[in-house]
Amino acid sequence: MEFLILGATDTVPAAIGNSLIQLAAFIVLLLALSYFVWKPLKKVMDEREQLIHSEIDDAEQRKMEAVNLKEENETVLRNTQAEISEMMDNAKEQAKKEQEAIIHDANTRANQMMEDAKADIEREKQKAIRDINDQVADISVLIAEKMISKEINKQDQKDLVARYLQEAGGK
Amino acid sequence: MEHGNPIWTYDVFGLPVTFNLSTVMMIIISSLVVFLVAFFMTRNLSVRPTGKSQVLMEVLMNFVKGIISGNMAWKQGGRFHFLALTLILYIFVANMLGLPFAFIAPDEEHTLWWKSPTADPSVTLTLASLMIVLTHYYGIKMRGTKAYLKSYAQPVWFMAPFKFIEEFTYNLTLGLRLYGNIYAGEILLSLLIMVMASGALGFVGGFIPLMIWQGFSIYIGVIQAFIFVMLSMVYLSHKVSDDH
Repeated sequence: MEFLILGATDTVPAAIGNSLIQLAAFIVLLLALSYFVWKPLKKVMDEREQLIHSEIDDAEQRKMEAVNLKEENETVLRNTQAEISEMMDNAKEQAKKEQEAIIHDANTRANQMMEDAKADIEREKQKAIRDINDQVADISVLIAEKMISKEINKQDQKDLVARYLQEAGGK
Repeated sequence: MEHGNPIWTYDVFGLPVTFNLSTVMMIIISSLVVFLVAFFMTRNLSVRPTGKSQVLMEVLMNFVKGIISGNMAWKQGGRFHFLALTLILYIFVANMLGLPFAFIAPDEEHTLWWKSPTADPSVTLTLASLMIVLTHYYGIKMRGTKAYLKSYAQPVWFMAPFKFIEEFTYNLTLGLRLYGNIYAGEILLSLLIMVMASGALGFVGGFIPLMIWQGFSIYIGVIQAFIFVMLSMVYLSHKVSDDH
């Protein structure tokens, strides 16, 4: 059995032994390389790929967390600002109210005092007028007594004078 | 120019089993070189590679991965990764071994001892046959016998004989392409060496062509290793892939 197709029948015999040796050598080489070289190398490369994947995942997660945190912070800040401005408004309103109350109070008290004073003055005036009237009556009686020297009932005299005075006051 | 071969025949139950001892030796040397180089290049593996050797091996790994995934889905092709890696490395080293020197015994036959094992057709045809057998094995294993047989009758039934013959031509072309390239390269190398050995003028005239041809042979050796693996993967994908 020879390789007729090659046309070199005397130099290239069909070395079936070569084939067997080659086959065995290749299979042994394949097994040895797979066990000692390719498998460890593949493992390392897979590990690296895994590592890169996990790192990327981690980075993405961190980025998302950062975005969330930022949003949260902004919300808190916005809320705080709103709260502060509300408190300021409240305080202003309160102050205004107090101011108004104080002014109102002061006005009320001043008016009260004015009215009291007016009432006092009126009372004193009335009292003074009554005193004067009494004195005038007494004096008139005295004068009349003196003038007519006639004893009349003091009480009648008094009434008379009062009537005259009433009449005089009515004119 | 004519080199003898160290033939040794051994009878197994009356059947002569022939060995070409130089080929056997070179097969073993190639395998050892491949194993030792790959072994010592991947001793200190780390996720963050520190040396160049690990990076080089990873580049080779990714290169072969690229060859496979160019032909079939990685889900199917991943199992051929180590096979293709071993194949390309072995053929590359085997092609290179014959380039730097040849050893011819000083006997009457000029017995050639040191050569590329791939310059022997029995070696290349063995590798090609192994790959073709594997395509059939994985074709049946991964798609089922029915789909495997059906693929012969596609696209039309009368293509079946051609498809059948094609399997043998694949085997022959795959093996003989590699053998032819490397064997022819070695013949030209030995011719140029003979020119150089013929005299002072021949030495001067033959030196530059020899260097050029050795450089070109390195290129051929790389390309042929690549083509062998590439075509093996193409044939595998024909049998393994569901969609053509």
